[in-house]
Amino acid sequence: MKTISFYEFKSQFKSIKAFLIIALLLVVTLGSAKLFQNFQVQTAELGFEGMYIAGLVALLTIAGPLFVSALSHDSINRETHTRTMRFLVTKVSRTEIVIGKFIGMFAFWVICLAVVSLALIPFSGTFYVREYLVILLFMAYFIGLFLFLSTVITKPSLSLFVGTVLAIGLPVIGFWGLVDNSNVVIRFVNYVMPYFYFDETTGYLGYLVLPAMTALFVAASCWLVKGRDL
Amino acid sequence: MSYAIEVKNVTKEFGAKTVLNQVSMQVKKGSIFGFLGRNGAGKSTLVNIMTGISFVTKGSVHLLGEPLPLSSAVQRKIGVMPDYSMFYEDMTALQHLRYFAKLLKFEQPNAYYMNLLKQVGLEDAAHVKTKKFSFGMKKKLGIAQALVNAPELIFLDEPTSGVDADSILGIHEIIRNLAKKGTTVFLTSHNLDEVEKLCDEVAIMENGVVRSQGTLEELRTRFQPTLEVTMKHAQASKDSKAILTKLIENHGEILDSSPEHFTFTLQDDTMIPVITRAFAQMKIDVYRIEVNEPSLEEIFLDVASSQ
Repeated sequence: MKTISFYEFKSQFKSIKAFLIIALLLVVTLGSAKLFQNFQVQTAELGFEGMYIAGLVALLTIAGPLFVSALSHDSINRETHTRTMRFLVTKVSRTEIVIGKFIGMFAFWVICLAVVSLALIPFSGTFYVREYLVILLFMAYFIGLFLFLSTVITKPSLSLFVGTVLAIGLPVIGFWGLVDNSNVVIRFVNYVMPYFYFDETTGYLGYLVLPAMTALFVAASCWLVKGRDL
Repeated sequence: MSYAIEVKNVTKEFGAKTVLNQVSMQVKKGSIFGFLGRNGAGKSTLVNIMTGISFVTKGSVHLLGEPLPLSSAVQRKIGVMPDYSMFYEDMTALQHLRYFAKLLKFEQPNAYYMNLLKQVGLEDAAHVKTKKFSFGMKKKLGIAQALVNAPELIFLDEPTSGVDADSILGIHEIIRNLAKKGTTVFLTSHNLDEVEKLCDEVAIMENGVVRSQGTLEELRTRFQPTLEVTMKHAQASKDSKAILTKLIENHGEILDSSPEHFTFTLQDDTMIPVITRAFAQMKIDVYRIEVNEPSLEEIFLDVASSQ
């Protein structure tokens, strides 16, 4: 599993998409931090201690699913489509392949976000541990979701399309559910969306629910891959 | 008897279509087993099932004594070259071998992988990305990666198709060496000549059913129970020829004859000394005796046409 994870981790960095995403994260995060630095006194008076990381949080909340989709929509079906999966399944178990890939993709975000958060220290003088962990849980949810998508959809081109639609649609539904809970369908859908658990009123529930849902996506992916002819 | 592969009543259905129907076979440890069949006969489906790429609908498969799905420990003793070898385009041949060895927890120094690449004739392409590989080069890398863990059992699905003639000889040498070391080789091939040269035992599959399995000798007896013998001799008189004709006709059927040769069939080779003694008694020199056994191709065509 370690080998699969490491290979997946490395392959995430190999595309130009990864560098563009990292560059965008750095520019937005550092740009917003610099902006907030100009209003240091005012934000401190208002008690907004996490302002320096607000740019990163906002960017990932809106575009995080799109970033994950761009990098992970074909993590499983690409291997099946090119038949490299045949080499893997004759060497390691299918569960190891799926979990290994999830860990590799998650590790990519752990490192990326750590680098971006560390780059903020000159501005904030601190490492935002809580925010960092919350963002990671949020990203893990979408990695799990798009991993699952890449097992359900066997064609990489189709998973790219569906992934992009979901990556744009889910944040819209998520934010809609936060501002308007009169629609029963949206409210119900929101219970399985990470945005709902970012609301202060849910307290620490998100710390439990998001990893549980991520685990559910990974388990469902394992189950699908384990029962399928390749 | 210890078997490396035991397939029992395996059936594979794709929807309403039955691709494998109650297939059973055993492969002895340390043997080179040839698996033959026309395109669409079900060969690759069975190989895919045995190697964990597909699943059975009914039946069971044991590899090295363990039922499928295999434990990691047994999986690491098996090498597989799938029928269609595709690789990670951004990785070199050497990187592939290193990666696969790592997956199998069989990491070795670089010299080990280079030696494998040398065996398949890819040493010069060790650092070339596989996107630049030709079909034949991919086939060779497919063989090298199947050997990377020094397996006890190896599946080679069409290893020489699309490979140049020189390399084919090298691949045959690798297969022979594997068998010498005690590795069981399961070889799928369309090349009947190759199977005949290399394999200890053969199975012929047709329409999802194993029609025949055994050593080449057993298959020959089963599908052509008579021997075809040609004797070339010194010119014989008409009387001598008549006596010899009668003798041969008592034990077989004469297909062709001239004053200097006989071509006839016999049930088995026990009558050949009797006939040669008759020639000697009549003081007719025998120059040559040719016993023609059916080739694997003839057996294969016989099996296929008998369905």
